[in-house]
Amino acid sequence: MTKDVLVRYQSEDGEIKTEAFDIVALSTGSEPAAKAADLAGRLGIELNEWGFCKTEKFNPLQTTMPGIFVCGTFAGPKEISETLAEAAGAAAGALQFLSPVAGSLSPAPEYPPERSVSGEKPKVGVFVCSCGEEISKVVDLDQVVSHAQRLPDVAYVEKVAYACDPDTRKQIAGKMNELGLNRLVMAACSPRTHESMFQELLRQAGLNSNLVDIANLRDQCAWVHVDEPEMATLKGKDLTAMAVARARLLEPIETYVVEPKKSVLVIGGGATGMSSALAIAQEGFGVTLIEREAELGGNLRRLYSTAEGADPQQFLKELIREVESNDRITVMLNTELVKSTGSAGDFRSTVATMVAGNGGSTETEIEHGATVVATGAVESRPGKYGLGQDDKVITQQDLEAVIAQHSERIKSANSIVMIQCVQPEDQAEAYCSRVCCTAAVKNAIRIKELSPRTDVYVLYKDMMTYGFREQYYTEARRRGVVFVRYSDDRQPDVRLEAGKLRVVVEDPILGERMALQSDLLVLSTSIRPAETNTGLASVLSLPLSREGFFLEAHLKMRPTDFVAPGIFLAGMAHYPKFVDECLSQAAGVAAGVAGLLSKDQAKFRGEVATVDATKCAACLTCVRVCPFDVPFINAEGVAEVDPKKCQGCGTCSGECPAKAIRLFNYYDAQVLAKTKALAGQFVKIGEVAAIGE
Amino acid sequence: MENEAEKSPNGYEPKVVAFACQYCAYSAADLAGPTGLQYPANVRLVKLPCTGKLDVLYILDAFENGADAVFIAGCLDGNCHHVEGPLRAKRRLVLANKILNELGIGADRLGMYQMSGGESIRFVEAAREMTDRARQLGPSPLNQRKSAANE
Repeated sequence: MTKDVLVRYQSEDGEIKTEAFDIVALSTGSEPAAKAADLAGRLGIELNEWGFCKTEKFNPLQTTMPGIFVCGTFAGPKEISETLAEAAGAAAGALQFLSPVAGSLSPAPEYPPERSVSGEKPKVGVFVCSCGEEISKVVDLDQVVSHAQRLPDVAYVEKVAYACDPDTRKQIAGKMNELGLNRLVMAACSPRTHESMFQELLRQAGLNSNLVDIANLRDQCAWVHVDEPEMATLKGKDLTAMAVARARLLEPIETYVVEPKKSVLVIGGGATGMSSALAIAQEGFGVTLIEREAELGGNLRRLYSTAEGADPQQFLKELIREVESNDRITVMLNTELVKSTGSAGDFRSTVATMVAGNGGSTETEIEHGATVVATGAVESRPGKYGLGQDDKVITQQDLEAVIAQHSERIKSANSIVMIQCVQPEDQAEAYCSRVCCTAAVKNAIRIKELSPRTDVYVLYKDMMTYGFREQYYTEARRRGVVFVRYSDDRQPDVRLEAGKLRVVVEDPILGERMALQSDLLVLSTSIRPAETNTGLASVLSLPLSREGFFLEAHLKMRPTDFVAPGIFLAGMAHYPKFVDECLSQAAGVAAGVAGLLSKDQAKFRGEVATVDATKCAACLTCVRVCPFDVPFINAEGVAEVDPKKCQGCGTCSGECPAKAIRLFNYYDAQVLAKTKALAGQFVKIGEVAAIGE
Repeated sequence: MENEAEKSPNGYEPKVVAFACQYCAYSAADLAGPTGLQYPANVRLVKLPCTGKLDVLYILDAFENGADAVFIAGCLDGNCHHVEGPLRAKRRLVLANKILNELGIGADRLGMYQMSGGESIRFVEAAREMTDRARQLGPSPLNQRKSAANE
């Protein structure tokens, strides 16, 4: 008796196999929560036929009861990042009713007064987080702890399970207080995602938020050195020592207060851009909506039906009417962003509008507190299977228009073949465009509705009609649509013979080649990032993913934010999405904007350059090299940097021949502390000035 | 304080220091794990606000303190948050290379890589390439001298 689990299954070629496994994990799917019906009854909201909350395609966060919004898996199975975008969107929905009083009941977080640490010897608290077991399963944290205990000025070391847990943070803040610690080192996750959380922890402890350094033991150690636990542990010790070394030299930061500009620049006039513009305007902020094309609507202009039955053209007409009639929204067509500077709450951008006829353009400068990127994506038109050479070969988007406007072409067809997953040859990264399976199924049903006698074949690799969309797959099969699988190494072959299309595909289940005559061949082609993404990413200094879509701040937790504060992301600029998903995200963006702009004061950390007037020779190097034209020679004849304008890149400090400029948090001594710690060298406090500062 | 890495179980294990821009390379490095990538544990990152902040002194100091190779990881040309950080870094690298050659450390121990914040694969390639190079070149002359002095 091995107690193994024996699994008996049929392989693709029909053979029955039996295999032994140690563990079998079942993906059981999700169902409505046990008390969903009860809750719905009490709230007076309707559920759909599967017992999830009922919503409409173009109003995905609205329940059947006005004033009650829904988000997350109560409205259907979905991914974490989608639930979070929806959560923000539902909050924005509620805000529409509350905008006159928004913020009036939310007191600023109260912190104890900030204790001055000047003149104190560094007293470092090191908290080593196992992140559940994410870090500890690779890095031996006991070794990290005992290593940290031997580092200079370390007064306290503790291992914690989840440093991000609010109670744990409270305990750490308490410990800092109790022991009079004045520097914090978190050996935990990435500062990129969690630094602000630990800065806030310090405020809770009555310390300046800046007195923390983070050793990135999770993202840059445990997760990437899974097979080298010993080396990873050595690295973990080094990273912790490097963080302690710099933490000892950290200084309190000043914050600067800016009154945010109460207006927003929305880039992209498709469904996503327009609906986020409307939601933002309903919150009381002004919106400039710029659209590259000559009319609003984007991809939605080419969508004539949805699987769910809602009419996109009706919705689009209404949306455009609402946007155009809204006093707070200014629409600029034929317009592109050419320049953008500034920071959250205080952006200054230049947009160029094409002038009809003469090919020239006029430039307009816009001041705004936030930016929304909603530039969409495009259906690709690869030259595959005769697309572009024969008018009987079209894309799924073309088919939408044929069904809506030239139904006679459908009715006269004996046979229509669709090929799924058609990727351009030059597409470097393979990815799923998410919406094409549903589009194919939807259009197959429309064809069968128009002309039941027309044969419809869908050649697919893997049908993905996830969530409630699965019903349309069932419906298509019920109506006689034939689904035939193909594999990557045996792609369908398309020939034009005597004016007729002949499609040959090898069915891996039958093991036989099928030849299909076809009057119309429909390709589900990849949805590609907009060609303008590269240029726009450069103007806004935003990252793109490997596939060329815009890259959000965090793949799961921050789907509508960029790392750069004050810039937000929605719709297909992010990745291919259904309309309802775009609209949820657009609403989520409106919540993010409100969070930033509804405050009368936005605070900014002064991670900025300062000039030592005694060293400055007024050589103008900084004036010349600053990418943002910030430094100037002041009345005293030395360079000066306005902290509110400085972007903190340190270019001036890197170039200054007299080393008269230093960048806060990146003083040479602070950077060098890290490299010196590699060799176990720690500068004596008080000797900092000696290393060229 | 002893240098722990010298006690590495596999004999010579190079130390590689990467100065990484927080907008691109630091993010690319963070995303390696979630995208299923691994790289040698020899690499330690030092975060910079921009490669425009890079100072030749930082590179030299890393070698002085035991690095066997150093690389700079910045944004793609034309996609720098601060416009031209990587261009400035590349110019400073010319000087750094010259000094490293004069000191006998060798400019081949110094590299520069450019990537976007989403290109974890590019960061991983850089980390592997520089670690492999440090393995091929053997310990930095400064480290050889140090271990000779210790014996």
